[in-house]
Amino acid sequence: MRHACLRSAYMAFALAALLAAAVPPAFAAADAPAGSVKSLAGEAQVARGGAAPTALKAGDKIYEKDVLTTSAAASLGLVLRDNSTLSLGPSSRLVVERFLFAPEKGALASLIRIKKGSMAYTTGEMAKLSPETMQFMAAGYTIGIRGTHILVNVDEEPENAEGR
Amino acid sequence: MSSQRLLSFLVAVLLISACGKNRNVVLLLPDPDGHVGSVVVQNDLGSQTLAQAGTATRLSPKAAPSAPETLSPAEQEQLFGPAQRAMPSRPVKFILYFVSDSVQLTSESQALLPTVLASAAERKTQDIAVVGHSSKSGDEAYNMDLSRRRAETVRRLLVKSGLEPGIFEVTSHGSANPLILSASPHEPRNRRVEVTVR
Repeated sequence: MRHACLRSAYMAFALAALLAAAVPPAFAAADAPAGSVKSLAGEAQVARGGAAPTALKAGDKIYEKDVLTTSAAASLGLVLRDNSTLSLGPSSRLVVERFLFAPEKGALASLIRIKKGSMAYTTGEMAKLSPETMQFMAAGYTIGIRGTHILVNVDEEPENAEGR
Repeated sequence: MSSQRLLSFLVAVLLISACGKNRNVVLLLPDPDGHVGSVVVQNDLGSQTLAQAGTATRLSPKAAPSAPETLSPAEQEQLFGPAQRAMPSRPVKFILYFVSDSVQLTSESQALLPTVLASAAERKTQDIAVVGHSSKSGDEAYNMDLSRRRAETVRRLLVKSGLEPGIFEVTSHGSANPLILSASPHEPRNRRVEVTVR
């Protein structure tokens, strides 16, 4: 059972890597990071801009479009640019689709997709300035947060929920 | 012996019922400060608002989100325990004030620097934001430069006290983000640098 899970995770990973490799690296990472790694237990990885996933360590910066994954017994804690905090439990996968926090320019945007596993999130300044901006997606649902602490668990997001 | 069997039977029933449940769950909890916000969960088939701490909704592919319910402590732990324990503590923000038209910290703010350093050490921080601000008096280009020099001054002081130069992110906002919306362009509480220790 666990083996089958692992295998499908690896296959999904390999597929994602292939797809990413097929697309030219036209993705433009916003210059400003979306956040940084505050804490880490076990192994967590980031896949960025079509490159192979690399291991994360405390202090590493996180950017828009990053795909974050944790291993079976691992967990990961992030502080985002608006001082919100986000953590992932074991065997989780999350995509920072969009995260822009530049209130001095009036630029705020956020979309975080939970593909698999568990996530906890406590809102920061973005939710205070513009509550409608904080958007999450999981299992084909959109989740809007009005200033609070939420937890989301997803067993495995069906692939057809991708475009929604 | 029979009570032991009963117990193992109950455990098995609990496990099976927990396993049988839809594990796609959104749960609302209070903020660290006790405040409870709300969450709106929706898909094409409907939406559900959670507004009470400790309530959850389940997500199925071809249905609207389920009516709010309270999770058992066992299920909450099983689904969210590790993620909850991995949650970083909230960043801490310090505000340092300056003497008018200068990069000289007020004596009270000078005295706050050891507290900033202690917080950085305690949190083993690798990420400190330093944002400079000015009051509204004077022209904005000058204020932008002044707020940048203030932020640089704070960074230099903290690096001199032993913090790694690479962990700082220094920005300046001029007079665009006042702390106090004051009638006076000389509001002293707007002449500041905000230091966020993450």
